[in-house]
Amino acid sequence: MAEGNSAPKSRAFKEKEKPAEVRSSNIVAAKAVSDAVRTSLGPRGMDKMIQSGNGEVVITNDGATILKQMSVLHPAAKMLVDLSAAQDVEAGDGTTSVVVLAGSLLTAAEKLLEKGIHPTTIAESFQRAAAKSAEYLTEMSVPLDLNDRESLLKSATTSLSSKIVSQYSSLLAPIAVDSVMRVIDPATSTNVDLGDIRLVTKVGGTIDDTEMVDGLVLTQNVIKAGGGPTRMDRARIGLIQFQLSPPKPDMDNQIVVNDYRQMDRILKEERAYLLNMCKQIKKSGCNVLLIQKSILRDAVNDLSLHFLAKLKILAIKEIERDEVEFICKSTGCKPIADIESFTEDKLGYADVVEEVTTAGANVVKILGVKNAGKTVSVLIHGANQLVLEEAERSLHDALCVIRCLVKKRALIAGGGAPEIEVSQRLYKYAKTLKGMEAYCFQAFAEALEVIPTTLAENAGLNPISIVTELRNRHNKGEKTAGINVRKGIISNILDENVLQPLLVSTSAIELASETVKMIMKIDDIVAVR
Amino acid sequence: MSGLGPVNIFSEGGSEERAENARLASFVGAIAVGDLVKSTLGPKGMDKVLQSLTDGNITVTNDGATILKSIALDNAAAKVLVNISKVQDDEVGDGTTSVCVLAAELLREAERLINQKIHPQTVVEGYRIASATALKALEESAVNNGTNEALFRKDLINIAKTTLSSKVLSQDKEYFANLAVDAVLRLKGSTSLEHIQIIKKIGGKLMDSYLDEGFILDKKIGVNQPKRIENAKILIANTPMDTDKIKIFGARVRVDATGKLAELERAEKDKMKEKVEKIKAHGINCFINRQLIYNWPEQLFADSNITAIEHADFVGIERLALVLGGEITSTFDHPELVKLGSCKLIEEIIIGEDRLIKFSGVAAGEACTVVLRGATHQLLDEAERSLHDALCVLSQTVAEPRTVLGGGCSECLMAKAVDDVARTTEGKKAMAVEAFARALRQLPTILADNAGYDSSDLVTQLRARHNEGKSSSGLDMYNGCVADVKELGITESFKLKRQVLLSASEASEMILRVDDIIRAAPRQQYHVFASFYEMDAMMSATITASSFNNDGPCSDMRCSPEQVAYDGPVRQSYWQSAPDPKCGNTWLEADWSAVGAFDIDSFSISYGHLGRTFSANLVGLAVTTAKTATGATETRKIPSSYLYCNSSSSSSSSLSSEPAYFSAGRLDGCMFETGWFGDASLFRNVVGMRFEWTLKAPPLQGAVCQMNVNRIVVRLVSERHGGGGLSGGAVAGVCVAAIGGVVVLVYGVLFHVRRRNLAKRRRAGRLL
Ligand SMILES: Nc1ncnc2c1ncn2[C@@H]1O[C@H](COP(=O)(O)OP(=O)(O)OP(=O)(O)O)[C@@H](O)[C@H]1O
Ligand SMILES: Nc1ncnc2c1ncn2[C@@H]1O[C@H](COP(=O)(O)OP(=O)(O)OP(=O)(O)O)[C@@H](O)[C@H]1O
Ligand SMILES: [Mg+2]
Ligand SMILES: [Mg+2]
Repeated sequence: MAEGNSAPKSRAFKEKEKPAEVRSSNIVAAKAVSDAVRTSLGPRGMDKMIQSGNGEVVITNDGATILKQMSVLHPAAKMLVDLSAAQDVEAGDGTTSVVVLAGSLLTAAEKLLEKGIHPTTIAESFQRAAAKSAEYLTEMSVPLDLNDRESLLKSATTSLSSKIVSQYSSLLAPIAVDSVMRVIDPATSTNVDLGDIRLVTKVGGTIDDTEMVDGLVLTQNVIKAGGGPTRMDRARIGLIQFQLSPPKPDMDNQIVVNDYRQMDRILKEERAYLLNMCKQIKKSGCNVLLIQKSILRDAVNDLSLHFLAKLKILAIKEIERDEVEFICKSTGCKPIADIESFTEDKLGYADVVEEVTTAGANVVKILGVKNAGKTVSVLIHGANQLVLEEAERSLHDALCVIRCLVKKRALIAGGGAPEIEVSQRLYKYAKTLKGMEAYCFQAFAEALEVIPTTLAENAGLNPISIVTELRNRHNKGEKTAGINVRKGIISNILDENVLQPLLVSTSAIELASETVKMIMKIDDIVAVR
Repeated sequence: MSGLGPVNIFSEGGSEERAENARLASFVGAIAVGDLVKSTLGPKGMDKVLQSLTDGNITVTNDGATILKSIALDNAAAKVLVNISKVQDDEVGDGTTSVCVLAAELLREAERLINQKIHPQTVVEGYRIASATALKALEESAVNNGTNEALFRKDLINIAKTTLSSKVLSQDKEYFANLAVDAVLRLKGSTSLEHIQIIKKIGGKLMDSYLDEGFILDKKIGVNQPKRIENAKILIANTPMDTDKIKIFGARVRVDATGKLAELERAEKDKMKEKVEKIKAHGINCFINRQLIYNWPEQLFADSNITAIEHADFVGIERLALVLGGEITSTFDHPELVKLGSCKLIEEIIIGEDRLIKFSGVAAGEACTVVLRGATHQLLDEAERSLHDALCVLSQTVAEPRTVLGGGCSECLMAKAVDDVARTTEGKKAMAVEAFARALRQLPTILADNAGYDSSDLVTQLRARHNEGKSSSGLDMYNGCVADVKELGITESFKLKRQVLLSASEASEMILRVDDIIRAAPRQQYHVFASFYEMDAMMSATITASSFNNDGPCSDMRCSPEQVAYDGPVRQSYWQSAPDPKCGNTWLEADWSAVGAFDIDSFSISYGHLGRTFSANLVGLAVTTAKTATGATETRKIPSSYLYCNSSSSSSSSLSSEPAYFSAGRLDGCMFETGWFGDASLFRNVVGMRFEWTLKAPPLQGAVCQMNVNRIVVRLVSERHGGGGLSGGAVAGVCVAAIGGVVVLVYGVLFHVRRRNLAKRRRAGRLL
């Protein structure tokens, strides 16, 4: 086109070829990523075992985690990894679906490109189609009342059903629901700060031993060295940020010792100094002492521990600074940074503080807190580190699902039903459009079928016949017909209790098409410093 | 000739290129740059992925200035284009692609004329006439709706939409155009965009972005402090609220009893308390500090119900002060002199997964914050750039309210005027004037090409329409036809178009006038970065060029080895010790006496360990240097306070209170500048070094450590020491000298090497 007009002779032709090459290389790379996670979609999806460069092993079904662990280099592949991370932030669940969807959209786009449709047109039509899909999904969804515990449980169970821990979902789903409900006010909240829910993992026992603790769980152990108490009823909890060890000003210092008598005196003084502090703590009524870790010097020494034990104060050390906020919120105590300001009003109260051994692991539980903020701890048990980590991730997914429902109180069916329904409606809508856009909408509609197709594939069913039947059923108006993975047939998926938040699906479709748009618009990769 | 990467045109030893060659080199470079960015032009323009060679990070962008800024160029003329696009970015914010493309097209036309044996000066003359004519035509076509508020707002919305239509935000341009206009109109005519803050938070989709009045700070409120304050009185400070080690370091106390130490400790705490009291005396309920606030002062603030926010970053705090109407303070003795900030409400909000602090009802009513949401970092960054483009153009338009039409309309209109003038111009100049018009018409051509339409057909139609007098015709790139762009609302700012026209013609003129490229002589002392790969490679690999010029291959005073040219293969490995289970007493030794002596300016080391728990270990460092002249070696322990450590682990490394040790986390990078060492003589004139680590306490079982010396910066002083002759080094700078010596641009890739060893000089000169 431009040739006749200006100078660059043979170059114009070559320049046109490059963008196409770049684009197809991008699509190939992105699809490879999507194929890599495809097999882990759905309740019969497989897990991945990933060994990282430093030899650590992770076993997971979570799309975002799989992708995070894969070290991809290609820019387009990286964009898919980011996409999955974005879905993780936004919805928490659906991180596999979003990548599978993006892969399928790219395949569709590739075909459209072959037909000679301009990439920008494709990308923009896809985005419009995505917006339309979100609209349809919203229409299909049923509103949810947060007091409807049954539905909440079903959604959490659906999210858990694709994980290793699915057999424990009757235990984990209620934990997820209750934890969220504990930290929000169902009437007014529009978001959940998952920071208020503390997941504590301990190797030992099985997932069956996992429990929600209405109070606080600390992984640090009670110090038993001095023979102090390990259980305290009517606990008055203090959290200190200063150190119970010999003084050490910030100034460079040196103690000059001239003879033995002086040494004696120094030891005595040190003793008096520490004893004094411990006594002062006791005087305020404190009987449980949490001690923040210190970088510059020991937070406690043997002597002070000994004193604390003698004064019947239960001591726990090595509290991290970033835990402080949560601990304070959960126990109602206030951090104390100086012995002089160690006063009664800064203490928190709990009915009992106790180190317990559950399933072979020691943790400290603080129960019956008065004036506690809205926080909750979940203590997860598992036979080994790998299971434990995956259980934590799965529970996190379930929490996110409930959070989605708090943010947007609407539910849709799962099991491929919404995708097929939206796809059918888009087909119909495409018929009302003109030109290229109609093509693009159709291609988009077809691409959405990748979810039921993959669910069927992973469940060992025949994807073609399943998807065909799904289409027929939906055409007949069975909006909730989905893949019943357990029985290997198509049935009303609501009878199977497979429910998922609307937000997970809408966000997946929108984010995927946004990323596809970005990839489509790229015509060159330039190396820079 | 490839359109990418550096166009390397100079042979290693050459120092001058004349007439034909020089011009050819300029044209090739400039046109290549134009070709590189032209596919991003217009609403259907494509994006580029910029992939960093160093860390593989990617940026996806459509913004001409961003693309050009990041590519490595070695061609003077190409750099001129990069420069005008940068200027465009600074002055107007948008049109950075257009300006570069237009300049390249002007040069392409000029090249053809010169091939037809027309003297460059004639071309320059013709271009001048044409550009003046074009400007006049543009000015005449400009419309001013500045006095009619409703119309003007519509103009602004249209301009924003035009700007955004080529960017990621195009899908939602209606929404973002309104958002940008609302934000800019808050400024009430000021062009300082500082009041508009952009916060990017991953998650959500672009349409979830919103404009909020007030200011949002991405920080946390201290433990136990009020999370919501009404009618806030705010003191903004930059003061140490931990204990200041550097200052106390010099002092030393000797005591003879623990009690005295306790007293001392108490005194320190009291001092802090006194400081907090002084701060409280300002009658505030919120305290924001640029530096850390430690536990103790944090508690004191909490006790008195004051919200304290620590560690606000520098830009953040400057802007915060501006917006809250306060001043940044660092002394607290005179509350009456301090200007406090104020706002109606401070509260915590959640965006995505993060909690942030929002200040609403701030003193500076114009302030507002745009919260951008989007799927990925790339998307967010590009959205920010696009929005920034729009905000810039809009604020410029508020100051200069004239508008012109886009979509190739203005270009065609100017081309027509230029063509008319060409007919009355005498001599060969006329050809140049015509060429200018052709170059202008290339812009609509490229717009159409990028959208995949038949450009020659469309542009012919467009031209015909203009000749019929339909001067508001332009390209409708959504329907692929010629249309009335005034009706479509494709409006652009007059200032933008004027700047594009003027910069592009100026730049092409400047490049046209070059007939000589000489390599400049060194000016003054420069830094040379030496990286230790292997000592025998010191000659070639370590002496690499750097400059203070940001455009040069090494910006920010940092050069990574693959960016700099030198003889021989790149060997990028650190100078590294073997893993050592003792974690200390391991030394590294270097000897480059065969090469010559250097003055060491600074070096960076890192100390890493693989053990699982290794928190807060104290590591000491001693450096031994060897000298030529005397052959003497000298060892010095380096006090921890002179090391500038940057810890990569969460259990932070820091200066320890033990002067001879720094406390190391899992992996620490430390900088050391010899200048800080008081007596820098140790590092002058050095031919060898040895590093020695000692550990305060024995390492934990199973720990394995490794030490690296990453980069040594060697300073080479200009010829103070040796005899004149060869000016002490080599030069790889490029200088474009315009005829008559009007403009001398020095693209400094200059460096200057001091060598003790005269015999090695020549070799060095060759290598560099
Ligand atoms: N019992 C079930 N029967 C049929 N389909 C199900 C069932 N449970 C879940 N699904 C479907 O499986 C899909 C979710 O699979 P999965 O949880 O593996 O991936 P994801 O949610 O996309 O990603 P991740 O959980 O890794 O973040 C959804 O489409 C959901 O409707
Ligand atoms: N809807 C439209 N139809 C036709 N042309 C348009 C339309 N919108 C914008 N344009 C034209 O596109 C050009 C701007 O393209 P673009 O924004 O990609 O480059 P730029 O502004 O020069 O540089 P940058 O935005 O990278 O700083 C202008 O010439 C403008 O007139
Ligand atoms: Mg899931
Ligand atoms: Mg633009």
